[in-house]
Amino acid sequence: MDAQLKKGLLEVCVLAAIKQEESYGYKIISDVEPYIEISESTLYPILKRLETTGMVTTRSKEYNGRLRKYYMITERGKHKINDFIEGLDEFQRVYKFICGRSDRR
Amino acid sequence: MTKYEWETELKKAMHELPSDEQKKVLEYYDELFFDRAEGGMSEKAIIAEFGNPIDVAFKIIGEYRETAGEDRPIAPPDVYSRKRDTEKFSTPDFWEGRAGRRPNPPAPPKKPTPSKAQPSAEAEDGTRTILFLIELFLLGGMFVGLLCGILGVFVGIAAFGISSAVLSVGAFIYGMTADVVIAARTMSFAVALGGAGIALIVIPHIPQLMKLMKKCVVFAWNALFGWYTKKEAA
Repeated sequence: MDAQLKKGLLEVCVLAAIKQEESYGYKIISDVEPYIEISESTLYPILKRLETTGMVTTRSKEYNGRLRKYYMITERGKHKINDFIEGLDEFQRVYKFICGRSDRR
Repeated sequence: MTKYEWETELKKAMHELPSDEQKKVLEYYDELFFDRAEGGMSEKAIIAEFGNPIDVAFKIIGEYRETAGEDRPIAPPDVYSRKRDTEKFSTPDFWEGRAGRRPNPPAPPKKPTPSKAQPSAEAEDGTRTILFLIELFLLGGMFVGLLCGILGVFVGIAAFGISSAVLSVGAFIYGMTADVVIAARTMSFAVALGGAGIALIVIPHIPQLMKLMKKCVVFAWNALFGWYTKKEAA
C-alpha cells in the first residue's frame, strides 16, 4: 500500500480505536493490528501527530505501580473520522476510475 | 539483547532529537514493554517485536523532522558509521521468531548535489578536519596544562612548606639561645607548617580532581567527536 495512503488510514484507525473509550498504546496496537499492519514504531509518530493537531488528548494514569498514558479522542478527532467516512464515496469513484482505466489496457 | 541494551541503543541512535522528545519515546517503549510483559511475553520476544532500535530511531527521526517541517536528509551517523552496532541486530538470533517481518533496512540518504554557489563537499570536509584537529590539539593542551599546573602548584606549596618548616625548626632551636627572635621564628614556623598542612590536605585529593578533569575532557571529546561525525554523515 502507498505509504501516504496508509499513513492517512492508520490515523483514522487509531482515532476509531479510541472513539468509544480512552485507550493506551498496547491496546491500540492490539485493536488495530487485525485490520491493518501497525507496529510500535509506526504508532508513536501517529499518536504524536494526532496530539499535536489536537485530535487526541492524553492523560497519565497509574496502573500496576507505573504510569500509563491514555489517549482520548477530541471533537476534532471525531470530525476527522466523519470526514473520512464522507470521503469514501469519492474514494470509491476514484477507485472505479482507476480500475476501469487499468482494465482497458 | 536485554531491554536496557535495546533502550541504550535506541537512545544512542536518536541522539539528535531533543532530550525531552527522547524521553517521551523511551517512556512510550517502556510502557509498551511492561504491557507486553504483563501479557506474558518474554523480554527477548518483546525486544524482537520492537525491532532493530536503529530502524526505530530512523523512523522516529524521519517523522519528527517531517512534523517539524525539516526536509534535510535523515542521516543519524550511528546508523551507517557504526557497523559494529548494526551487526549485533543482524544476527539470526536477534530476528528469531520474526520470520517474514524483518523490515527492509532504510536506504542510505542521498548526498545533496553541491551547487556552484556552495563550497564543494571535499573542501568542506577538509576545513572541518582541520578545525577538528585544532580543537583536539587545544583540548589536549588544556588537559595537560591544567594537570601540570595543578600538580605544580600543590607540589610547590608542599615543598616550600616542608622546607620552611625544617628551616624554622632550625631557626627555633637557634632562637632559643637569642630570646629576641624566638617569637618571630615561632610565627614563621607556624605559617610554614600551615602551608605544608594545606598542601598535604589537598594533594591526596588530586586523583579525585583528575577524575573530574577526565570527565570534563571526555564530555568535551564526545561533544567534539559527535559534532565532527555528525557533520561528516550529513
